[in-house]
Amino acid sequence: MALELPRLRVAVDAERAAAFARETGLTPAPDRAPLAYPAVWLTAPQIYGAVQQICMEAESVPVHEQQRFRYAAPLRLGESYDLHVVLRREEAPPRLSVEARIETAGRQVAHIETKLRLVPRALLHKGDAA
Amino acid sequence: MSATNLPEAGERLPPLEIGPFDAAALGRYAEVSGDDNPLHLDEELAAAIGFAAPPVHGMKLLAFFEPMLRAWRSDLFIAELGGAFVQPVLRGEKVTLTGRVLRSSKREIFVRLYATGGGSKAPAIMADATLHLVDAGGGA
Repeated sequence: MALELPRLRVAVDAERAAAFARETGLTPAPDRAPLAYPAVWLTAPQIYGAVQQICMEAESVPVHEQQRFRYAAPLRLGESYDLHVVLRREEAPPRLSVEARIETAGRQVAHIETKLRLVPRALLHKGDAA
Repeated sequence: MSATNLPEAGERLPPLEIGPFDAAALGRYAEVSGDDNPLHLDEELAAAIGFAAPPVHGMKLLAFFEPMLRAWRSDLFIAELGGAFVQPVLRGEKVTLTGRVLRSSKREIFVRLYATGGGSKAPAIMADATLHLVDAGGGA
């Protein structure tokens, strides 16, 4: 099952990028965002809300299993980008893949892939999912 | 390093020690990233799931490979960084980041990366990065 979300317009906020850099061991750069900065966009309600909805329907909680960032060019401070997000369910084992394409002026500059393992809530209640 | 300024296969990156991260550090990361999953912030919830302390956000740990890679070779463009979160690093644990060049050519440099924490020999994160010479990567 694939669910394509409506295009999301996002921006690299210089102050937030600097704070993200400091929390991940980087000296804030004057021009570019940290590599993992797009993580902040994945927590946007339009994206994380859809993830939560799928998890609720699966009676599961998401556990971050894999993460990947691919870049053709750095993300620039102050720049706006189009974020195209597709959610895909995988079975055996149950996972949710979140793929995001980051574009500017129709050109792809980055691609993010997040894999979440869907752990049944019932297992958590037994304390087996840690 | 070769005459063409490429790293050589087998070269080890200088390791980077990070942490331990306290509750305030996890709180700051949660605030800036928007990842406010209570598992990383709530001791009682972490204990109910079987952790001795809240686990550090995996994304925060993965992101620390960027300063490690930049400290090693700031002249290369990092085209790809990814990894699998194998086991948690808990609040209060030190973490060691290590890396080794597996392949190196003018087209790309592929680096295997590990994050190991909490006195465990098994990695918490198995990661990799692909870097380019700036004139070959089209970025940076």
